[in-house]
Amino acid sequence: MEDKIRRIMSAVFGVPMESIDGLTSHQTLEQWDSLSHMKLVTALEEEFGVVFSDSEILELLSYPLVLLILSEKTGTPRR
Amino acid sequence: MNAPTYAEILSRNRELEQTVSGDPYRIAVVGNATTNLIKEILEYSLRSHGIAAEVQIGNYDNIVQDSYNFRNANAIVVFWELFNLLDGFQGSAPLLPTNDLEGLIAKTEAEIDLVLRNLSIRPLVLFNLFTADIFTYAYPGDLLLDKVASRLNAFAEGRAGRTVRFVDLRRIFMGLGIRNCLDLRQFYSSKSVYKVDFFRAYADHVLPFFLAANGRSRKVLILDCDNTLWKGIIGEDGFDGIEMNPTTADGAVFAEVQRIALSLGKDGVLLGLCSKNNPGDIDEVFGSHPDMQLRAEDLVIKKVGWSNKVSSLKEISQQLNIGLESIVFVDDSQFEVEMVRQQLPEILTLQVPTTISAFPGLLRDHLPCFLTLENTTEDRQKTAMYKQQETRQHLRNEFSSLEDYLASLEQRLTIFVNVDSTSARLAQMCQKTNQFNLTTKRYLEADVRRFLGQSDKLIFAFSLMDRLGDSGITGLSILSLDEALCQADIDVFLMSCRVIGRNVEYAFMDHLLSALQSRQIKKVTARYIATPKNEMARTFFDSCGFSVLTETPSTKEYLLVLECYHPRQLSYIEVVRGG
Repeated sequence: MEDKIRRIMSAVFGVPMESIDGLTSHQTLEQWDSLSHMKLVTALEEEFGVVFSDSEILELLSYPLVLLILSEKTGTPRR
Repeated sequence: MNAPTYAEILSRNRELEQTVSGDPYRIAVVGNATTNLIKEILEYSLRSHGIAAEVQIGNYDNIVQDSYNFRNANAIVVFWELFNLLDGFQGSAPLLPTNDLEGLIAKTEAEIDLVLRNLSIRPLVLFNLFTADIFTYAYPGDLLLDKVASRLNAFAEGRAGRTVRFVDLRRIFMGLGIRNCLDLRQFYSSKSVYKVDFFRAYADHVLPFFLAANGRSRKVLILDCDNTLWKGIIGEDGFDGIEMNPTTADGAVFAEVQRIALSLGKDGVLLGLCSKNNPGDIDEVFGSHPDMQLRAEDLVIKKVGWSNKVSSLKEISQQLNIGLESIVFVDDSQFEVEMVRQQLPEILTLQVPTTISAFPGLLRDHLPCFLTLENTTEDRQKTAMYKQQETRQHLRNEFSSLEDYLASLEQRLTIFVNVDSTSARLAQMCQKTNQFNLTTKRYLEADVRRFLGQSDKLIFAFSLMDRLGDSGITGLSILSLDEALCQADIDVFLMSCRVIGRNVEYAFMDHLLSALQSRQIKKVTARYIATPKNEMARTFFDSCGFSVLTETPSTKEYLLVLECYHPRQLSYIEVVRGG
């Protein structure tokens, strides 16, 4: 799941997958503006077959939060 | 093949950006709603067809302002949403006092008028029709919002210039189901209403417009005969045993297929046959079968015999001078279909469905690939002209030398200089001509009009008449002059494939250069820019006596000192000036 998320984030933000890590957030990544945030939500929902609630959309603001929220939604235990 | 997901589109689009070359095709999407997801989807869609698309999204709710911007855009897409005519209009419309509502409609109409006027100089404008369906679809009947949408649409349709195409979003809603189109989670915060699925479907829906604008529409429909134009096999069932009578169940299917083909022919698509049969049997059916809708005169080419279909289709492409990627082929045999798909993948090959009632629908599903943006007089006459060309090829076999043949055609070249009324056709040739095109500059009508106003540009065009008919405007050259330096440059030199092989390019060049000489021009520069399709023009300037200045695999630069030019003075082409 981690790799899949990082691959999606790499596609959305146009940065190498390796650069997505625990520190990646809308504050540290210049490309992560409100428009690409919508793209990220769209891509994650499609790839994982989930629908985020309004509040979840507002919370998906860093790679660790994306991982946390998606793990909860898909019932995947986190390592 | 599954449609790519949005994330896949994003990555592949980045890859294609690096690999698809050619002139950029710029699309600006303007609107009063958030449509940003469409950017990469549209780019990906066009780039996968080899078009170097660049999509820009206009400023939010800036349709009027944006209609003045994007001056270099090849196409404009307008997402004008009813709900944002006024913030929250979808809720407030029924509550507005009549005066206020009428005032808002009047203001919107004035804006539509202005926008359509500003955009009328753009080569292609896709204007989405207004619809209230997003908010009214559950209601059985029209609500006020629906009526507002109808009024604005009627107004817009009355003001549209000839480059405007209206896009009915309801077609997309229908295809996907409206609930699958909408996502209102970000509507109240950021005026975003559509799901990514909607934008993907939208891009698919409008793709034929962009393909047409880039000269990629299919131009030829080649049909098999047995079990494709009629039920049964002429060689086995005989003249009276084949079925295409519209009053019988099976016959009605084939009668409709023939009518679909005829309608395409009427719109300028070239029709032809490719069938393994005895030619005499087929001629008899086309000549005298009472149930036939298609007749011999509707066809521009016939390959009936026993050679394999791959080679027949290649011959068709060569004889019509039309690339394989412009051909659609329909056949019932799995064997033939597989072979053509495998060996000539550029051809769109359709197999007659085993459930024949689905056959007309299959053809209708593929009608968009024939879509063109212009219906010029030349298009309408094309079928007649290609038929003449066929006759010419027949004639050619009878003459011992090409010169004799060309002389027998009694060709008359009419040359037009800086003629305004042909600018639509001239731009169309810039867009469409691939083979005999020295520089493949894809100028638009606006460019041509601009050149006409410039004293340092000269636009030569020709039409060719011979004893079999008139080709219409089929040749173009655009020259840039530097009269101070006594120099000219051949920016464009092209000729439609219809007039290739008749040496008119030399007569045209003679005329061009003598016109330059009379303007005291001493030197002419020119170049050949290679594309995957213009190999046939590679040595043209050489054969006119131009000297090569520099040469790379993709470009040859030339210079001609005019006093060293030896005109061909072809005795068999009469040259006259047109008005």
